[in-house]
Amino acid sequence: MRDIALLFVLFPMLYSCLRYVHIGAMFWIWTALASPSSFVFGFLLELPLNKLAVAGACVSLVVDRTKQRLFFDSPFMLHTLLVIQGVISVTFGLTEIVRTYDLLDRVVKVWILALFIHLANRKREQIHGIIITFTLSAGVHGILEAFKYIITLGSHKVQPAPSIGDNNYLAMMILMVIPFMLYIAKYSAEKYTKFAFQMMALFSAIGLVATASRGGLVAGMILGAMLLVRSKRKATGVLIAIVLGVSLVTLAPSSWWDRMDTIKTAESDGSFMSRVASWKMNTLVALDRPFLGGGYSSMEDPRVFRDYLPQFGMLDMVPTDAPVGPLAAHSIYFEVIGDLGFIGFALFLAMLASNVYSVRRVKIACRGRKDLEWADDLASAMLQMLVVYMVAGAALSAAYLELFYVQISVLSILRRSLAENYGVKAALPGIVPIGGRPAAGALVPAGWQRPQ
Amino acid sequence: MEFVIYFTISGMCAAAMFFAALNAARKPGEAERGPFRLEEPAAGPQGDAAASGPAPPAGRGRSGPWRPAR
Repeated sequence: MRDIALLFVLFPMLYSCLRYVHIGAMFWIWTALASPSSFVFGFLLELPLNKLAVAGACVSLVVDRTKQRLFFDSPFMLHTLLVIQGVISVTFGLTEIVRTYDLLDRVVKVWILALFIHLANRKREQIHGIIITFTLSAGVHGILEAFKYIITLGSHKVQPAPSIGDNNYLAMMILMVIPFMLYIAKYSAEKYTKFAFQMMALFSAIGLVATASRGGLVAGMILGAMLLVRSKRKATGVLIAIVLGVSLVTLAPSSWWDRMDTIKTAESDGSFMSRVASWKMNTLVALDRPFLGGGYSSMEDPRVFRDYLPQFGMLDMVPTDAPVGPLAAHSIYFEVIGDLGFIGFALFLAMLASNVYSVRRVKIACRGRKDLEWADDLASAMLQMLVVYMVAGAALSAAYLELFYVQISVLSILRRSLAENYGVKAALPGIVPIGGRPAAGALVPAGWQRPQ
Repeated sequence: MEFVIYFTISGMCAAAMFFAALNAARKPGEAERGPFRLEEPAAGPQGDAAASGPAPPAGRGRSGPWRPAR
């Protein structure tokens, strides 16, 4: 029954995907983020939906005549270099476990998806479509958990789809889509759509509570403060925050409060200190191999773990017990340090910084333009997402999270859209066009010749 | 219930793609269709005109000692 129902959803998607290249990107994002395979039990379970989406998108790319010329801006350039560094690190790495090659596979696929998004989209409607798709596809998991949490009166224990990870990953994903739910609600013409996305944001907040993630709570408070600062109706915002806060205090079960209380005693919390131990182990790999690192998830290989364990005492600034077995990195920063060495870490930090710079360029470009208020708001949502990723990711192995790379791709195409379709020169610096022909009347960076 | 919610939200995704296809095929000047259509952008100065501040009311030039030469 589920499979037949999902087929009804698939047909319009496939039709639209084959017809237009930018919808191919939307279909691809849906299969990557919504993990449809984990919600069916019958014949669709055997159907490789993601491969179907990729094939459909590639066909539409060949057939479609509206595809855009490719641009390389600094975030995408750094993303590409990070992938190359990953390939080199795995080739000359320390480990050959399955997880390493799974991650390499995922990283390359995400890069191809980002490339496809860059090629397929430029107009505001297309950007809006991509945002709706990743918001719904990633947001559905948090909304589902919120419903279960409400129905069981807070006793539901969150178990996200295997493709997402544990409760902490889900909390981060929820927080990374909430700003976009509010953005879509603001810029949808249809009042029911506005209401639907506002409700989704509310349910996502409940879903965040349901995850009982301590990192999620901290990042959620930061996101709340950023939304409040950005809000034009601060009094209403404060009122909503108070209502949500009071509801949380009165409705959250005692087990939730017990869990959150451990934030204050992090130094004696086993879960947190095992993360610190894992960070140390990853740093040891990078100190030994600063240019290459150990390859993806090298510290999860028992052989590599045993090799570096004797040096554990080298990093005794924060006293921790030595780990007893292989550990996940539990931090986007230490994950990249251990996997790709200090070169990879520098590329990763530069990529994060260049995205923040992109947000700044967009905001400068939109200054004083009433008609570009949407782009300014979108840039703010991107900044909020970046801050959430950098804060919540500090305690999660999420350096290669698909959602994040899809979102930063949208930021890149937003910049180019402003330059090409709205004549905003300030959005251009740092963009390098690769071949193709610019649209009529489009601005081009200095030094670049129009093809004859 | 889990699948009903999942199906509803995925259905919204499918609708977004379907209407995106319909809207991509529309003729110039034709209005957007579907539940995900965008709010009309506020009218404002375009291009580099924006940098020089808001336009003066129709029929009147800029006033004051720093008005541009006619």
